[in-house]
Amino acid sequence: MQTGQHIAASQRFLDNALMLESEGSHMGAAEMIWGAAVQALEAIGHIGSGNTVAHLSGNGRRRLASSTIRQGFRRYSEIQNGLHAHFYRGHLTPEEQTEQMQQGRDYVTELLTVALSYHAEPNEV
Amino acid sequence: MNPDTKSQTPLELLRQARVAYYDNGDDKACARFLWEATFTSVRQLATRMGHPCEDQAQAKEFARYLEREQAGKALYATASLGFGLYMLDHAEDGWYSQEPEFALPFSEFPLAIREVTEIVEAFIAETESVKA
Repeated sequence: MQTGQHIAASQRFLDNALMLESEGSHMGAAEMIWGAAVQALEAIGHIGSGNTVAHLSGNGRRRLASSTIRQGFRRYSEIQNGLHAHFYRGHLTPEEQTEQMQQGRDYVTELLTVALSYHAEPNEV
Repeated sequence: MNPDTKSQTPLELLRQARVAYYDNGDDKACARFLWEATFTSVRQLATRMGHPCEDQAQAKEFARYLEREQAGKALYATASLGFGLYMLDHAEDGWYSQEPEFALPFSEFPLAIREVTEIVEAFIAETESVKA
């Protein structure tokens, strides 16, 4: 997939999250935000595995950790271990779920802003 | 928290985490030191700001409080504490450490050490900026 396709996919995941949340499917919405984060990271080019909604490759983690996106690895980990794990475990309290989904959305927005700036100026990557 | 490490500073705990991993090859011990370094740095800030922070529940409550403030947004307090708890899970063979998709491989501990070092340094800096 090309950068623009990853950006579009990330935005679709965010749209799906909103739709699922409005239907009361909070665990599904949490997973969609995780998907949006992965696609946004793919767009930036930090993941080279080609595996869409999956964990980062070791190389991807190293690049994320050393990236200029502040707190990248920490916030990625929080979304994976919070929202993505919640899809399987259902372990977050409603309060934690609301907070983490908002934080996840904020992180995806930051990532997409970076991705879009790269996309607009490919020579700057 | 381990009584043996309760009086140690976050930076000393970080040093022990590096020794555990790089000298002893013990990722479990490293993970526990990383959690304790995280918790201790959060607790120091909480204490300076007059908030109770003696256990995980109080630390989470304090992180949520910080998240609502400007300083908390800069610190990403809940994500930072969450990363520390991820380390604790690894040290105690918890759920995440049992799942291949979520577990942190031994080879990637240098990333965790670096991430916790950033967390600790940020909380120390914030603590020093708060007037006693």
